[in-house]
Amino acid sequence: MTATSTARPGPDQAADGPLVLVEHVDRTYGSGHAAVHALQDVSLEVAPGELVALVGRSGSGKTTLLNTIGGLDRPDAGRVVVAGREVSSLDEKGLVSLRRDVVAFVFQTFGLVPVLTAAENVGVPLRMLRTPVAQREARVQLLLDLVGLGPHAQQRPGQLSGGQQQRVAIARALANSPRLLIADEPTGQLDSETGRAVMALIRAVVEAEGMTAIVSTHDPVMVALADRVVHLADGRLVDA
Amino acid sequence: MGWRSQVLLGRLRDQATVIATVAVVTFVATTLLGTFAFLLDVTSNDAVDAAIARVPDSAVSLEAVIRVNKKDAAAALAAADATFAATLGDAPTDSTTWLTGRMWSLPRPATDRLAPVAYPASTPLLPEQGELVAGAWPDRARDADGRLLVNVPDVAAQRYAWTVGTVLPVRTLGGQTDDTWVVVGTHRLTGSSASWSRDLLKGAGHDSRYPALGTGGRLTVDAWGPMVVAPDALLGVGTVETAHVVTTPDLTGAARGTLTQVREELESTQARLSAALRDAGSSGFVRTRLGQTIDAAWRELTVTRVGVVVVGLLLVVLATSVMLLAARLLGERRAAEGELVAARGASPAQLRSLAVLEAAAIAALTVAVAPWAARAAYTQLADAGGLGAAGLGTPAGVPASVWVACATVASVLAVSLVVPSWHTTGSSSAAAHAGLVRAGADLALVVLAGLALWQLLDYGAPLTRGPSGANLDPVLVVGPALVTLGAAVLALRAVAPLARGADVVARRSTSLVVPLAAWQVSRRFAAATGTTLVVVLAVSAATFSHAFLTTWRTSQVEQVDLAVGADARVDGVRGDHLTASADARAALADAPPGAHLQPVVDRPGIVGRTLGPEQRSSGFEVQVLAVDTGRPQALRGRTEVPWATLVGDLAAPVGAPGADDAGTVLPGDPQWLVATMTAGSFPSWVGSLHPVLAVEDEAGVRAWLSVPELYLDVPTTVVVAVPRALGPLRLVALSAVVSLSGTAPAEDGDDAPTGRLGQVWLAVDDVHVVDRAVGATSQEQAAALVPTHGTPVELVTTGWQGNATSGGTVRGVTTGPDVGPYASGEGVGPGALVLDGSFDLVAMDGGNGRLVAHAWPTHGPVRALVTEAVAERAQLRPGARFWVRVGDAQVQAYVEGVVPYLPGVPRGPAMLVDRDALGRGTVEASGTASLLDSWWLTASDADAPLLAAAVGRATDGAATVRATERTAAVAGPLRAAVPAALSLVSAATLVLVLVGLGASAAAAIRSRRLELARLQALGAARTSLVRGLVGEHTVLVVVGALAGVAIGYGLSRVVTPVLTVSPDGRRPVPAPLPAWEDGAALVITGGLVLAACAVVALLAVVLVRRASGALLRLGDDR
Repeated sequence: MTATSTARPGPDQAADGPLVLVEHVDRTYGSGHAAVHALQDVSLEVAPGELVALVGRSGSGKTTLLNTIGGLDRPDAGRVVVAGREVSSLDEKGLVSLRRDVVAFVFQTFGLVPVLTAAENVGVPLRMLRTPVAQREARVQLLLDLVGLGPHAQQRPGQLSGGQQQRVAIARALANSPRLLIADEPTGQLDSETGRAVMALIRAVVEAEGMTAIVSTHDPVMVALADRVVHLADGRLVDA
Repeated sequence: MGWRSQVLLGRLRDQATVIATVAVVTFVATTLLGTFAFLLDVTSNDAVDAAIARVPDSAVSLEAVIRVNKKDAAAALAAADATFAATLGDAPTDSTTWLTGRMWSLPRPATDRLAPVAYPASTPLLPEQGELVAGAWPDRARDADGRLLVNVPDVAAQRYAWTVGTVLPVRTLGGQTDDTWVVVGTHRLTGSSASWSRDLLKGAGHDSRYPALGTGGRLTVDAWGPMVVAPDALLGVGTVETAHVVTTPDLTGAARGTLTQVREELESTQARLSAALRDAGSSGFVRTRLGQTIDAAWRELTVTRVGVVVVGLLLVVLATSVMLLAARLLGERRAAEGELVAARGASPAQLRSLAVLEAAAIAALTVAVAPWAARAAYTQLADAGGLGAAGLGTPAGVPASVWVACATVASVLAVSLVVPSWHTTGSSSAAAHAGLVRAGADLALVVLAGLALWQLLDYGAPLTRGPSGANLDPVLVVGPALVTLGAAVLALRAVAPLARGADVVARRSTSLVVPLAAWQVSRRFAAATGTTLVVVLAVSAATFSHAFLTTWRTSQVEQVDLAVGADARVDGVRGDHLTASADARAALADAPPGAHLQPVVDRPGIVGRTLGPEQRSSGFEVQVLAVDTGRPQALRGRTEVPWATLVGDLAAPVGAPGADDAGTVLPGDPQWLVATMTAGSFPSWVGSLHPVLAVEDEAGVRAWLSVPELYLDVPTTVVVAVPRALGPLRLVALSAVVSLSGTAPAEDGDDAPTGRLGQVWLAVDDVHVVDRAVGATSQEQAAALVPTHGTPVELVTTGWQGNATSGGTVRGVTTGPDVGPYASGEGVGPGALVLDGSFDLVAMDGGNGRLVAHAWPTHGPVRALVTEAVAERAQLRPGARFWVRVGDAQVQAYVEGVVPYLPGVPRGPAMLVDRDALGRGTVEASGTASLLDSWWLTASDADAPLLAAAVGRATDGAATVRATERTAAVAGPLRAAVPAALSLVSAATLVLVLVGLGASAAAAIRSRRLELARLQALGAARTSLVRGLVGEHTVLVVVGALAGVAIGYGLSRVVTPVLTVSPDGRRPVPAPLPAWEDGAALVITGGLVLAACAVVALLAVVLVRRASGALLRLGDDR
């Protein structure tokens, strides 16, 4: 099955080809009678600069698909290619490289390291790349300003609200200028107003940084902000 | 099923790993401490038995010395047996009986003025310690004719020409009873004279000067014995004079508690024996060292127990800390569950009841298994740690005390498991520690530890001394553990600034792994303290234990070295000293090169600053030790200044020329010395002299030979028996008691002395020796053989010096072959040695004077090293002179130096002098006592035991071997528990660190599982995260290890000397030197650090998994 329903074409989709290519991916958890078919013959292409909203009911396979694209899970069949790298066959080292250079995650639970300040959390990806201190600090400050948390740079996650934490998480995701942003229900733990603000932020940074984003969400606001909406039901892509 | 059961079963199902971890920690800690309890139990119950089983029989035997008073001997023996049986209870015993009959008159030979006497006896030493020369041993009391069957000494048979079958009509000394003996055999006694100490003649067989009955010792007769009879021959009424019943208990397999009972019964044994003997018409007393032996063993056991408890408590502290870590693991795992259950309406009390139930279940399971595991661990310890060899093997089953200990430990650990559930936030021990820090409770603990340390140092040992000896003091025993804990807590405070520094450095770093580790430590410091505390305690306990063990071992060995004083010593030299010297040196005839034996004086003396012949002031008792100071390498005992330096000048005389070998050599192997001795006086007086001659052998052993009384102006041929000796003997001194009576005749002649002074002289001339090979058996025979078999002795008559003492005044003596007109006038030959002394004749009327001459130049004061106790009490400083009364002489001494102790005399007032100098000094001071108390042996550790045993057998002395005592001091039954416990601590710290760090690391990884997954999602490699975790724990472990080493070092310097005590609980002499081996500390610390990091790395590799998408999305805490 091929991807469906494009709301808005991506800016360089035609010129560069898809940044994300998912072909006939199957993923099953368990075996026998207890087997759960999380993904079944899913195929999807996401063009560079495109913001794709992945929607579907709980258990439809959204997270599995995102994890498979981000290299956190491996398909049982099919292949996943991100920025020309076949994720499904990457070894540990390749996956690390993919996450450092290409992909960034934003989690529903924010995923901040509790003992680090907002600035230090944002700086984690840059430390992985051994970015010089001055350059790192400048980049961190820029990103925090970008998400509107410049004054909160020295606060730890426990001292920030949920929305602020998620904005820190987004800033951290942008730190190493990834080409693909994967956000798994980023507003799931936020109230609607905060969620909208976060969605707007994602939309804004995607456009500002020129990156591609795949966002799983139930939020109609996010759906409205997406370039394209992909529907998943029982592990299969369905037409909208 | 109640809700609690459901929850617990659910936990067991879903949290099996964490519960198993906690259970393992509990089990390991309980097992280790149970092993300590096992060690204490076995030591308390079996060590004394094992120790007493190893002491010589003489230390545990009971001897009843009974004066039968001619009553029924059988009744007296039965009374003694019954008394000892009541004392020793069910312990198996081995009894021997010595019976000595009354003295009987033998037929008087025609040549004797008085009839010789003899005594029948039965002894358990025969026939083993006797050589049957002819005939047989008596097999029954009397023959068909009613004659008593006796086996007589061979010397008696030779003297009186007795043969087997000779019939001897005998009569009691009072003449009331006649009897007839028939000789059935002759014998010679063998074995040491010590073994014949219960024989009337000490195994000599003959005494030519036995006091004749009713003469008050003025007349003597020949006494012979033992006339060996069958034991039943003396069991009648009126036959036995004295009896000895020697009962030796075998306490090896005695039931527990037997010793306590025996010790109590010993208190009343004398009273019961007296009562029982009184009923039998006899009297007697008990001679035993069993009470002292048991008391000494108990004292030593108390000291050992203190050492074990001290290190055991260290382990308790460590185990509790590890348990608190495990509790943190459980608490963190339960935090979310607790909140959920609370949200569902469970009350705090219900949550706590759950925790209590769970902890109780773990404790119960542990108590069921841990004692058996402790038994297995003890068995391993006994096999590997030398406990088995010390007689402290594994008993059957598990002692009740071990069950109790395991139950107590498991309960304490269970409580520590429950404690976190009392915190509403479900916090951990670490949080609790943070609270303690905030409240300053940790500083209060430090203050408490300081007080404990002060008390410990003040008392000088972790025990107190009461009337019954050393007692374990709970507060003092807890001191070291408290100090360790206080120091560890203090160290944790010092770790915080370090962590903050690391935090600052981490901020400026470009990498992630190391800074993240630093941040985890500095920003989760409260959580990190648990890990660090365990490491601090473990490293400090392990390094301290090792240092303590080294110090303890070294100190015990040094105490032994000093107490023995030499490589080996044989004390209690008996019999004639020349013969003892011959036997001792003969025993070393085949000794390897380097072995050397020297005679030593080691006896009490009296010291006084103004003590002297005239002052007669009182002094105080000191131990006088006199050795060959020319061989300082023979002296043992640690000193700051080598013994060679300390004793180097002791042999030199003070203010007099050096002495050299002097005197007249007696040729061959002399058995008899025959000389003409003439005494005279001017003016002519009525009186007599009692001379004694000093002869000296090659080893410098001197013996005084008595000469019969000489009457003035009566030349007398004296025949003096010379004891058997080895090597040439030298006649080195002569001393005589001068007794004058009556009034001075009118002075005439121009050359007569004026006033009160007169001259008394003694001439020795025409000296011969009769060699032992000649075989003369009596003085008369020796005198008769002089013309044919005598060897003339050319007296060295020059170089003699001496003094004459009368009325307390010492005057000079003129010596030489021709000293004045008196000698020549009395027909003394030109080769004679003449001593001519000036005496206050008037003062001597009715009193005694002393004439002394010696072949060496007058020595003068004896140089001495005195102990501080002597110097303090007599207010002596180097250079001071004082008097010492030793033997029968008072010698002036000179303080050469002051030392804290002396070889062989670790405590109390003592002085060390050169043996030869002392001997000469006593002779010059008119002493005629033979100064020999011990033999000190210099030999290698390998050779010393055999050589010392040989000397001991030869001299009837008790051998003490330094190497053997060293072994006993560190590995004997009463000591082996200490090194075993200290070794166990090292192993236990390793196990507890592995378990504790493993639990801590598992808890850390488990609680940060989500965080680690997120970092992986951000691009962190799994290996980097593993490295980070290992690095984080390495930081904690290394910091803890450094603090632990510092604490261990501090404890080793401060506490170790206090904990190292002597076997009787006193401060050791010499004072222990705290040992700290850098290499060993490095190995221990490095080993613990590596082991801890290895277990963390292993757990990190296993537990840090690939990031799970589900985990990342849900933040699942499964």
